[in-house]
Amino acid sequence: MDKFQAQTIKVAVTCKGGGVSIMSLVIVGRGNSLPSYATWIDREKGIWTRDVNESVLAEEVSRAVPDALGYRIIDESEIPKDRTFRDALKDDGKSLGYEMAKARDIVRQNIRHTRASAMPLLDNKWMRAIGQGKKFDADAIENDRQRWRDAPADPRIDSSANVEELKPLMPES
Amino acid sequence: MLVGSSTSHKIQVVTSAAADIEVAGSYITISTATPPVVQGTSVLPAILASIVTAATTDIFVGAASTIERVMECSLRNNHASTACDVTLQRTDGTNTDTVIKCTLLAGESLIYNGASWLHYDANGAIYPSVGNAATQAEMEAGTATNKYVTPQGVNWHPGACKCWVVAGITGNVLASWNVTSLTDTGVGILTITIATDFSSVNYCCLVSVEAPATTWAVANTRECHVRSATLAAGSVSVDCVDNTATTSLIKDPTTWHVAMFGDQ
Repeated sequence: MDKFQAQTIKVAVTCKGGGVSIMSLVIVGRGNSLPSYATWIDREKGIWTRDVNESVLAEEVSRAVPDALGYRIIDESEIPKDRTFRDALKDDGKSLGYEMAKARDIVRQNIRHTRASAMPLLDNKWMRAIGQGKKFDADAIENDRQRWRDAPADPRIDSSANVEELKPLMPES
Repeated sequence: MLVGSSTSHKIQVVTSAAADIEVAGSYITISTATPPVVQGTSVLPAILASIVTAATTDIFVGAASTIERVMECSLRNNHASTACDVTLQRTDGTNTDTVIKCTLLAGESLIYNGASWLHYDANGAIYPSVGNAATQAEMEAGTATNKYVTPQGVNWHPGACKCWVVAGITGNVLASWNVTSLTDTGVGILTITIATDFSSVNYCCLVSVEAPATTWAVANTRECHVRSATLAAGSVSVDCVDNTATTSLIKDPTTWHVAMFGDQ
């Protein structure tokens, strides 16, 4: 097969609940039969194209995102490259931004998730320290455990004004 | 192919359209005497004027006391665009029988080589027998041993992949077949919309991902699935998680690889 490269445009689709799906809509594609509204560029090679119009957009959005509330063609440069807070994306109709409440929840969720792996290890260390009579070490380990317990309630999470301030609060995975 | 000893015996071509059919051929004339004698003065090739209408045109015409043997004959549609049905027929003035009939697209030829008729496409390649091309039903059954497979027909075989895609984590299409869109629904979730839908939700969807690293810390491992309850005839979602305890975290892979098999 020769080096065919599909061509796409980006569509931001707002879903129920406020989340945003980013669709890559194929406008030059390849297959053995034509999708809706498409015409052949090269029938022998199976390469088709279709215009970007309301009919195409509406049909494709309804198939890919059944709970869509609206959609907008966007430039790829609008899409944040950092996916740390991807699930907090929102679209105000003019640009993509972040829903800060969701972004904060992402931080807390990651903290809890990382804590779930870290705590058993700390529990083992604490028990070994206690068993060996090393109270000083055990107290230090307990302090670590308490920091993990308190981490989701870190006030800096609520006080962060944007995702740039939130990102350093994400635990290392 | 012989032409009888009468001016009523003819080999004719019937054209169906105002194309540009060029007809030529060569023959040997033999007397009906005993023994037969080759007529040395009657072996000129027949080169007809272009046939540019729907008409019935004589190519070879018999003559009294002679038999003509047609050695070769060619018909070519020299028109730039118009297709034309050509019918070769033999007549004795009373009965007319069709010898062969086909549709010559622009640039195509029908040639008699003294033994058989061959249909050539505009590039000079011989047409395969249409009647022996496997139908969709035959391809889907996959059992015929006397049919050939056309490029279109390959797509109908149940063993052929009907839809596949390689994609980045933002839903960017790196390569694909039979896909109309990819949707980045969120971290670790991709929705594939299929161009030609499957005939039902009972198709096989295979998904794999490229891992982010070659070291196997649990945060680097990736487990991918067909996302629960998302299989539809025209779309499917896939998701990807790591293996951290106690609940796996949904995470992006490096790239998605999805392939689907089934009936369309």
